[in-house]
Amino acid sequence: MKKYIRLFFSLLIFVLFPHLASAALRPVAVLSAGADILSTHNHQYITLIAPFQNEYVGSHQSVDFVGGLFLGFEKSLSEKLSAQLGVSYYQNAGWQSSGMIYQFSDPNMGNLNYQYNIVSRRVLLETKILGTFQKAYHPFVSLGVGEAFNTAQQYDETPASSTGVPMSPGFADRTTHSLAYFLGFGLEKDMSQHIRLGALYRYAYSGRSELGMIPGQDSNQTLKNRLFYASEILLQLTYLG
Amino acid sequence: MKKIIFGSVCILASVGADGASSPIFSVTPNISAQSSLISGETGSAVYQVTNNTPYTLPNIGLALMPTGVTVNTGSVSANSQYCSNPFSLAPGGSCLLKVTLDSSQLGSGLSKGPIVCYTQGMPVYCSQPFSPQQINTTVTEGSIPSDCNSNINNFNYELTQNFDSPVSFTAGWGPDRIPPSLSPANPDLTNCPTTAGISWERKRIIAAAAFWIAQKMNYCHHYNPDYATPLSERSAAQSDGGYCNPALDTMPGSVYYGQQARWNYTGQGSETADNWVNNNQMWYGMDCSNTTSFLYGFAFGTNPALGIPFDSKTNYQAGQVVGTSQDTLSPNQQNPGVSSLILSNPNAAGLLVCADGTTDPTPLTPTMCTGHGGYLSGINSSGIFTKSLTVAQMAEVLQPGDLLYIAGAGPDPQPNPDGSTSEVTHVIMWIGKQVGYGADNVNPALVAPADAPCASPSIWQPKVGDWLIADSHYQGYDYRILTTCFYLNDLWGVRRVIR
Repeated sequence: MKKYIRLFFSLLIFVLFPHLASAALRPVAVLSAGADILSTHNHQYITLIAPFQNEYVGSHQSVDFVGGLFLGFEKSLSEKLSAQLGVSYYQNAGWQSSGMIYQFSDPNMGNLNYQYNIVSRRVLLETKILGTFQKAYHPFVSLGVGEAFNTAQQYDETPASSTGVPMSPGFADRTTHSLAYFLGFGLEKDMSQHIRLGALYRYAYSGRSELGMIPGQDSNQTLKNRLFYASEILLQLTYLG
Repeated sequence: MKKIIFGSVCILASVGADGASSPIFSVTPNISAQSSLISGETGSAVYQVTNNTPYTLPNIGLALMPTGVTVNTGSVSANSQYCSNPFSLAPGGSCLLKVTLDSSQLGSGLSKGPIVCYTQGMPVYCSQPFSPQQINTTVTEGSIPSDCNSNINNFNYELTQNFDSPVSFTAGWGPDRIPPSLSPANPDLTNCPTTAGISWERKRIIAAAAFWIAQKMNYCHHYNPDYATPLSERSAAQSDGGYCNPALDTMPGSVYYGQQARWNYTGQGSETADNWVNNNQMWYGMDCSNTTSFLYGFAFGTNPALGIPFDSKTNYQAGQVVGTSQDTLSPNQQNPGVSSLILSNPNAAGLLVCADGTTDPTPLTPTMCTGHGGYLSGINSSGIFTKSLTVAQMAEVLQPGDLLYIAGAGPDPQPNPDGSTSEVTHVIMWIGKQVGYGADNVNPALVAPADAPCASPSIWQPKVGDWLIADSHYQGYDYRILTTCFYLNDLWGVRRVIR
């Protein structure tokens, strides 16, 4: 999958680049800000002290802030079609992953709750294909692909009753990197010759995240969020040179 | 040392069950930690740790606690039920974790734990007591007072010691008792029984009673408070070692009224019917005469001048000689000219008390309390229960710490395991306090109900001004109203240790 997505973007650049290179380019800077909604459903078994396993059951939906900056160029492809290409950086404030721990995988031993944050920083090659109608409105689709640097951090356990005691220390912070991409659509409006305001929805894949291990752990198993997908709703302020 | 601990059987009554738990370990108090310490004092606490998992767990231990909290392994032996450090527990297995609190390393105090973890070195699976039963000790700065009167309630040193004999053990009854020593330094209490006088001694024994009443243990046939009847011996008959009272709560209006739980269990934290029945709590405790013998040792250590330790078997403690030959002999039935009719057990508790409150100073040549109204007893010289003793009369002549011995077949007959009609079967301690709300009173909420034949609340329901005794029967060691029913109607005699 990762290979095919990267191949797709390579071809896209290969196709667009001659057009962008052969005509006047307008520099573009886009500030994006909005909310992303992440649903996580974890169900993992982790060995901390062999041969025992804990069962971690998380089902959580969190909304947090995401913002980013795109820098690139825009080229008119026809009277009603233009394209942007550039690089972007996005970062969220931190998703919260949480759930319950069943110690020894025993349903009667749900003594602890866990939570940790995932901060996702994404560096993407991004393109946007914009149409034009009524001269000032620009519906668009956008695509981005690149690398996500996901930091799982601040793992914490809270007892479900006064008899529970959190593991100490907890899982360590860890940053992992993996393929990231998004696919979005939206609408922009010219506010002036140089300014556009827009809004978009995009479906973003930020790869995976995982916490570090605890000291002396008997396995290399740790809490992970695989293939975490987020729905993002963003407002964009575009400056065109 | 001559063994003077014997199995003793006092009184009793019924049964029940229920349960479930979810912590990795149930950590429940056996002896609670001190609520306050002066910096430099050493505190201690004993908690039972039970493995609730279906796995045998090795390398369990105290963890995640401040440096001032350590495990005291001084009581660990093949006879005791104390945990080593670290320790292993089979599924459902338990042991007693004794922790020491070095207040000089605890800052302003401690309000958590003890935290028990599997493993001690890698604290992944950890539990602590429910919050009401966690260590909650405040440490204050200041110098530790060295005078006796400031240390009447100070049992810190005693509690760090080992009560359980590592070499002598009786099935069911558990390890024999080792009387603790009084604190030798900071403060030095070793001379207090002689230098601080009778008043100090009386307050001391009452303070010791108050400490153990607060631990909420059951009535059991054990020598020591830190021994639980093992699972394999819990079917012990009412007259056997290891028996613990399965009585239902008879306290009107209490949380578990009519259920099998201690009458003053709150339903909070570990004080639940489930813990009482299923987590060993009802299997700790001592019977009446083991309690009195234990208490005097706890308060004064080994003290030949006071005759401590004295015998733990009720009738021997009362003065009847070893064997059954004096089972029908009471103080006023003695005959100074016939040795077999003299209550001459050398390990009796103190001296017999006369009707006017004086003592008979020569137990081997009894004075018969001539000129003092005879011995304080409900039984006359012919062995007949004749005297109608009143609580008011007793309040005039008794002193705190006096031990009142009850005959098994008085006008209000009690279960009499040995079958002898007037064998001494119970002992209670006069505490010299009344029900009330003053500093020297006992709050009525701390007064236990009575069981048959005095079970009617109209007989025992505490009223301000009622005189109190402390004894272990029914659901354990408690304050109770001194009633004529059972106690005074069946009074065999009174002995005074502090004199």
